[in-house]
Amino acid sequence: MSETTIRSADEVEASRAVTPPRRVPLSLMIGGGIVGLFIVLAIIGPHITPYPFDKFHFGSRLAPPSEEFWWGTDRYGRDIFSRVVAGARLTVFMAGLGTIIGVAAGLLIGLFSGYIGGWVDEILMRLTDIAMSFPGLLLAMLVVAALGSNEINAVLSIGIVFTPKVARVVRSATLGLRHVQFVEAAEVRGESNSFIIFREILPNVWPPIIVETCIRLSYAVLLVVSLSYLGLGAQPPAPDWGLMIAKERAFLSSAPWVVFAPAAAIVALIIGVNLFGDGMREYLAARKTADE
Amino acid sequence: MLRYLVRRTGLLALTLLGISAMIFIIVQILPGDAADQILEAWVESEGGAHDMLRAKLGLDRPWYEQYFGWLWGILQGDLGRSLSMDAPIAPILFERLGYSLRLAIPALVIAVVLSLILGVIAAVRPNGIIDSAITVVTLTGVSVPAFVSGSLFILIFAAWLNWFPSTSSLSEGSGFFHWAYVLALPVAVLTLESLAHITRITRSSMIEVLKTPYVRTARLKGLPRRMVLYKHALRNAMLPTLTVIAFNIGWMIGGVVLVEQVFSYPGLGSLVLFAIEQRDTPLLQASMLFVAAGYCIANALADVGYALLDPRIRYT
Amino acid sequence: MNELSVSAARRAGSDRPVLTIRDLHVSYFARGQEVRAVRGVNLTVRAGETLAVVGESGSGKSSVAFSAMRGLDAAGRIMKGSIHFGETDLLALNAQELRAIQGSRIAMVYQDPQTALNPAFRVGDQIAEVLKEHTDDTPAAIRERVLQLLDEVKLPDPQGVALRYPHELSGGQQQRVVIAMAFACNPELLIMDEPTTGLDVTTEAHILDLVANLQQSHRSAILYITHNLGVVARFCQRVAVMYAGEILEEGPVSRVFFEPAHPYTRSLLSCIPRLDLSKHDRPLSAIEGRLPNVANLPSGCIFAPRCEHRRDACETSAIAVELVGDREDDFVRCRRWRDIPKFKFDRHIRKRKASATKKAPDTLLDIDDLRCYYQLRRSLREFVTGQSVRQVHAVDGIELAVGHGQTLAIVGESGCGKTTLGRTVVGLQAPTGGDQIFEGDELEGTARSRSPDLRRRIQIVFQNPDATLNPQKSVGETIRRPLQLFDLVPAEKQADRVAELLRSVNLPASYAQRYPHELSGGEKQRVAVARAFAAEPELIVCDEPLSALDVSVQAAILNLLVELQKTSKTAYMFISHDLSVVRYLSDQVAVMYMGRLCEIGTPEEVFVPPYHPYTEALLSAISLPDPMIEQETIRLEGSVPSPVNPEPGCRFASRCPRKIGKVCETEDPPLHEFGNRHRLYCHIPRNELEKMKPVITYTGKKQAVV
Repeated sequence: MSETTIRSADEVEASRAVTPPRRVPLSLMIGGGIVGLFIVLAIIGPHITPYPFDKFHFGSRLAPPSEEFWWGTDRYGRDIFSRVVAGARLTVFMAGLGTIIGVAAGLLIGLFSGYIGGWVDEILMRLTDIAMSFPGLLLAMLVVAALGSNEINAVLSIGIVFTPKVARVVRSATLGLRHVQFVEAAEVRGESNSFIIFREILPNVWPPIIVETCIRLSYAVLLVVSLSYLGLGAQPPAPDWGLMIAKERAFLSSAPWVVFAPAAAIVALIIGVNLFGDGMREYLAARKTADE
Repeated sequence: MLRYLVRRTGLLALTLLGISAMIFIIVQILPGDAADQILEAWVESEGGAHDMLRAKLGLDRPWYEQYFGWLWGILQGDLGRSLSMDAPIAPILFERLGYSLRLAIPALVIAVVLSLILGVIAAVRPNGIIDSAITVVTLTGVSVPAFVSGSLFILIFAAWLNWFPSTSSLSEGSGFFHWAYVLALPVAVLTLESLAHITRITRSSMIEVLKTPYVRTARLKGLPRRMVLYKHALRNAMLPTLTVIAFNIGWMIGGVVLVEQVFSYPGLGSLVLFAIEQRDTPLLQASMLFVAAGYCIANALADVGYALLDPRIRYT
Repeated sequence: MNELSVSAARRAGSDRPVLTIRDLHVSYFARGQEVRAVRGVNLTVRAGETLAVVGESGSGKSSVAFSAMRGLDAAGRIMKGSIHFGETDLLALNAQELRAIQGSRIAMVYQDPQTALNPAFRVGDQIAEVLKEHTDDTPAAIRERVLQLLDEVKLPDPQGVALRYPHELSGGQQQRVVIAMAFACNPELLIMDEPTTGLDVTTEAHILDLVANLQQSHRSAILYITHNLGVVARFCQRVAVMYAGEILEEGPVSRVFFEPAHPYTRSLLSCIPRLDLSKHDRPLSAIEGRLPNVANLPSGCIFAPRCEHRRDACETSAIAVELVGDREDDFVRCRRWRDIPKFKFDRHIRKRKASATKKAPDTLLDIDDLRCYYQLRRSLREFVTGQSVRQVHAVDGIELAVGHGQTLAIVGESGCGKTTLGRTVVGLQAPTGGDQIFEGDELEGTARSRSPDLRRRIQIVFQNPDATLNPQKSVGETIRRPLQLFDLVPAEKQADRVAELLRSVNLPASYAQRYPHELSGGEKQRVAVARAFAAEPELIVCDEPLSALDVSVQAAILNLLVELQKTSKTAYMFISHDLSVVRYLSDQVAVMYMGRLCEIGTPEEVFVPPYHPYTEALLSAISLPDPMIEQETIRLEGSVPSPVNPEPGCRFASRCPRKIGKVCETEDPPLHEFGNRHRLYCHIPRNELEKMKPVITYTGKKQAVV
């Protein structure tokens, strides 16, 4: 080989392009902050409330916000601020757990279905088709109706609703990688299916999975509060936000704070999750283009 | 196209069959059976009454006979009898469906038209002032559950401003304006929700399409801007939007359940909830099947629309 | 000079400038960073002439093209300079005035016709749109004109084509539609941005012929953007060489090719494989280093860091433009061009059959009657009507052998089955029938069903450097895996072996810690080569490993492959569409068409008469980077027939310009053997074949260029 074609190590090192610094999108930071706050509340919430969430103050029913009761009281005189703070745990854990169940199950199904293909894929995908033919909330309602109305079944129902959707996303990401050259290179080497699925494909489907998880999380919060609003989730006297709005509905016009506070909590949490998801998508997309 | 239609219809029929099986299985898991429900009130029934009732309801037959009996009935237009109302289900269902559609259809139409316009406006200058405003509004829109926005609407427009009624009961024979007056709030709630979703998708797919080489080709042909936007770009951006519109119908059905609950409106959603509360299995099965079938048909229609818009699909 | 450029040059009498670009600066803005993609470009396109702007990726050539009709996308901005179209200052026009020019007086042909056409509209309507916008013609007149245009671009059945959607046309047909659209309003200036990249050579030849004809009849000037020096030599009168955003040299094509002044132009010309260059002649000259980082541009000559003739002054002081000829548009941007040694364009003229007596090496892989069919999914109707199964005959009865330590090149256009053949050999696909004997062992269908040792002995290097490495694995992990899997090196010595392998592909050992996104395309491909060699294979299937790389990088990889073969005695099955690359690298060449072998032999046998008619057509179609070459004009008519359940007879019969009669369509072509091991399948009688004339010759010479 001629001298000119051989480059010394140092030259190559020196010519290495400088990649521009990656910027974290503002929405990711704000969303992350909000979600983080709710997670902290979920962990320590019940310990920092001014009153126990289920303590009755019969002397001050439906009291407006004041020094004593910051966000007012409900019809039993329970402190709404304490209830909303204590309720964070329920909503955050239920939504989080439901999402984790759905994403984990969907991930496994999607990976295997996408990589193995053939009739296994065919059957699994027809099943997800059927499950996805139910509007999400209706399927969750049906599952809760069958299993009984409580927190655990609500979480399960969310997992069941999410599984097929996540499986679809993961499967299409997997299919996209199925014939990519580095996967084929592994096949030529004779790697096992599990090596290819977990070592070659899985590390590369994380970005779409992360984005999908964020989207699912926001729907999960919506589903949790909707189910409890319909009386199919947490049962009284749990300080569940959706439940609070449903039960205090009658006092809406006379004491609007009974609805304001839980509603604000719900909206803040979902906006936080959505911002986080949008930011995450933007961040991952930017990272991808930077890499290319 | 005809071949595609035939295939899509066949797929729809298969899916519906699968759905009916799934509903049947899930409902069979319900603790206790219908006979228990009916007899619950009837505490002092004699031992034999339970079995007799089971036989009368057909619950003593094996599950496959029950399932196929149910299916056969549906094909003949017989949806069974409601246990709690002790009446045939079909007429109730159709009445309630009519009520629900009066909410859903106006909401969907308004949402689709508005969101296509808003999505395009936002996409033309991504991260501009208008886009940012639209983004904030739609982000809030997708983040507020229907029952929250419904409650707030009641508070503001019914309780404080007293513009609209807080409950939406309909009486037959009232004119269009009365309807519009009564349904304004629930329809607004539903519209807002869908509007936000569809606008977000239209915006992002429009942004993607505006980056494509064929839009550049259109621009460099010397075509006016509106032609480039509304003819070349929007037509292609519509494709993902259509899927989302169909998907949104699913959310809207969920939204309908919540909105009906908030406004005490006698639609299909409140019927499903009623069936769950009353453990009225035949009614639950039938109404669930109804809703799911409606959703599937909407999806199938969206697919056909997709095929009409995208010439690449037609011949495959 | 070939016929095209002569006639074009004759017309270019008028010196009236159509496009005048002065001191153009274009920047892109992404995430707050400014990328100065084009800096200080001056260009003049005169009436009726064709000016090529040639450069590798990152040279800014496309930015110049799009600036010239103010078509930069939102991220790009013209920062400085002037662009005049005739007398009109394009930068001073408002949106409406600009639209009146775009598409009518300046038109553009794009790189990828598939994405340049809107998938949702019929192609006829997309052409009509231009006329509707820029003329006052009636709808009927427009319809008439659209059909006329489609006919002008030689699309069969204009009425039918007008009603088609883009996806129903082949790539070549789509590009014809784009060209029809561009010529719709008789543009004074046509900008072509890599119009034939991605098309097969025979299609490329057709498109270039077509544009040359249309240019003549419409009297348009052309600004031709390309990376392909062959096309420049064949199609253009003047050429500007761009590098990293600047024009380094400009001049008449003949001057730039024969007396290139700039060291970059010289390196480019000597790093491309040519049809008369073999690995036995000389290594290709690769260009060291990388494109300069746009965030940190050198203050002097932009090419200085990679220039072998640089002096200190080159890197510090600004470089003035120096005239090479007596015209102002014949210049070079180099302070040392007079001092450096004269450039020698090394043409090789060989005696016929020089290599015919070489002894064949022992066979490593023997392929006999190999067939790979894909079954198409049966539609319900076909199932009901009992229609027979439809199969794509991707590879249909191939017989060939690879010798120990030899390179067998498989060449053919897209869809000829060459990739399927390679995939079958490595076991990514199971054959439908036939034998593959590898050193006495039958190769089972898929890699998994082969023994680990057989798997180890056959490796593959893929086409796309961006997809070939797992983005989540470090280079070290990637190369180490075969060592672990095949138990080649004890665990404690694997790191050393990885370093050794990296050095053997000319990468520093420290690269083991890098991830693929930190590597350039050429470096990724080197890692892929190292991964293949890590298994210590006896055969490597190289599936178009160079087609995504710039010519200078391509040269380095080619040299590397040659070098590694010398030391390791590994055989290559080299799959490529590029005849020049194949010529350079291979010991044996097999030409494929529609799953069948047309001919096989050494390059010195295949690229000179007797030819298979398909090889002859291929040779006639390729563009060679040498203006002193004469090529026969043989153009294949029609399109490639469907590979689904193909008709009996010779596969090439439907397009063969030398078809001798009915027998071609009914019977499989017989085998003719020439010389040592030159095999050729054709119905043409042996004596006729022997009388064939060379397709490619040097001007004034009779011998075939090889």
